[in-house]
Amino acid sequence: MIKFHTKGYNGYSLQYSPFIENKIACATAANFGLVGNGRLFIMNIGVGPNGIDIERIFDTQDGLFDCSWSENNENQIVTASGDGSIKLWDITLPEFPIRNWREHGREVFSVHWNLIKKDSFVSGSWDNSIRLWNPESLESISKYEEHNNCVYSTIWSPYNPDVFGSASGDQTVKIWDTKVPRSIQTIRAHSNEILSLDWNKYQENVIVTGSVDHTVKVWDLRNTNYEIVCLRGHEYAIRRVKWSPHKSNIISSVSYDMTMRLWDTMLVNSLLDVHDMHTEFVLGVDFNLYIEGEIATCAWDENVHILRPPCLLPANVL
Amino acid sequence: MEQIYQEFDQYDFENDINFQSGLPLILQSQQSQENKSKEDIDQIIKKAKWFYFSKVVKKFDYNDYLVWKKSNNKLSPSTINEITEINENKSSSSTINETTEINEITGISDNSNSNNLMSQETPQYPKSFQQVIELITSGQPIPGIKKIPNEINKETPSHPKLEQRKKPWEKKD
Repeated sequence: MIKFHTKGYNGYSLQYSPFIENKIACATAANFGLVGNGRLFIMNIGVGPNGIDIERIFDTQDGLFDCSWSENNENQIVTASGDGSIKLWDITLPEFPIRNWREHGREVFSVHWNLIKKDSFVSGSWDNSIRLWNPESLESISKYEEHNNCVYSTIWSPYNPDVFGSASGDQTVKIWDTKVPRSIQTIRAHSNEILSLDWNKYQENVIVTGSVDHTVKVWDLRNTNYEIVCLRGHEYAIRRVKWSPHKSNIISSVSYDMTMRLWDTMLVNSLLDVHDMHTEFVLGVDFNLYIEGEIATCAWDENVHILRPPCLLPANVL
Repeated sequence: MEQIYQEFDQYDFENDINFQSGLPLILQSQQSQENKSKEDIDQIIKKAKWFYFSKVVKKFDYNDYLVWKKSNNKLSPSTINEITEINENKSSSSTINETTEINEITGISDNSNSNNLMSQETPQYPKSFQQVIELITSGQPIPGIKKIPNEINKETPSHPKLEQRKKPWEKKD
C-alpha cells in the first residue's frame, strides 16, 4: 500500500486522471471542512522515494469537497467549494484557477464532468439546486430545482450523454435528462439521507446508492419498487459509492465507520474485502481506470491510500 | 425516558474533553455563515449537547425532551421558541446541515483514535469556550486561516495534447 499525507487537510474526494494512469487529484479541506482553507493535490503515483509525489498544489479560501477531471483536456480539473464557488484549474499554471463561477448559494458538494458530451459538467449543492455548466461559458447553462434538501452527489450516465443522476438529503435519487427541464424519474431509495450514487458501467439502467442508513442499494431503473440488492455491513453512514470501471459486479463503498468495503453483487456473501487502515471517516474512493485492481481512498485522517486488494486482481474476479 | 432526561440535564459537559474540543469548531462554522446573537449561540450549544449526548450516552428525541421540560415547569421562554422553531424547520436544509455537521463532530469525539487528531488540530485554535465567544462577538479573525487572493489566472490555459482514451467499458462492446 502507498500512503500520502495531506498534512493539515482532511480528504473529501479523489479522482484518477482519465488520461494519465498514474495521475490522481485529491480535494481536501482544513478543519474537517467546517472552517478554513481548501487544497487541491495533484499527484503522480510511482514517482519519488515514497511511491507518490506532488506535481502541483492549489490553495483555496474555502474547503474543497469534490473534484472532477476534464474529459477533453488532460491538464484541467474542476473543484467544488464550501463557499459555493466552482473553480476550473489548469495544472500547467500555478496558483490561481482559470475560471471561478459563483452561482450556488451554499456549499457545493459535487462536481462531475460529462463522460460523453465532454464539454459539460454538473454540480450539486447544499442550496438544494443542481447546475449544468460549460467551461467556456461564464454562466451556468441550466438550473434544476426539485430536491427539497441538500444535493450530495451528481453523476453522469456512462451511456447516455444527456442523462445524470442526483442523490439528496431528501431521501430521493432523481434521474435527469438535460433535454427536458424536469427530472424524468424519482426514486425513494432510502429512508434516510442519500449521500452518493453511481452508475453501473456495463448495464445502462442499473445504479447504486449509499445512505446515512448504513446500506448500499443496487437499483434497476426499469423497476424501482424494490432494490435488486441491499448490501449491509457498514456500521455508520456511507459517504461514497463507486462502481468498478472493469467489472459489472464489483462495487466499492466508503463510510464514517472508517472502512472502505468491496462488494461482489453476484455473490450471496457479497462482502469481498474490508480496508480498515484509515483512522478516521473515509470520504473518497476511486478505481484506477487503466490499471485494473488499483483503488485509491482518502479520509479525514489526512491520508490517501493507494491499494491493490488481492480480490480485485483480474484473475480473482469473475 | 425521564431518567435519561435527568441524566442529560446533569451531564458534566464542561469537563468532557471530547465535547469541549469539538465545540469551538461547531461555533466557528456557525459563525462563518452569518452573524449570530448570543441567544442563537446558546441554542447551538444546547443542540450540540443533545447531539453529543444522543450519540455517546443515550439517544432520545429532543422535542419529547423539551415537552418533558415544559411539563416539569422548567421551561424558559427561549425553549418555547425552540420547540416551534424545530418543528417549523424539521425538513429545512439548515437544520439538517447543522445536524450533519454536529454529528460529524460527535462522530469524531466518540472515537478514541481521533482525540489525537483533534488535539493536533486544535492548537491553532482557541481552546476554551469563552475565548471563542470573545472572538465571535468581537468579530476577530479565526487564527490559522490563510488569505487566498480571489484572482483568476491571466496566463493562457493549456491546449490538450493527449488523445482522449477509451474507458474500459467503451472497449468491450
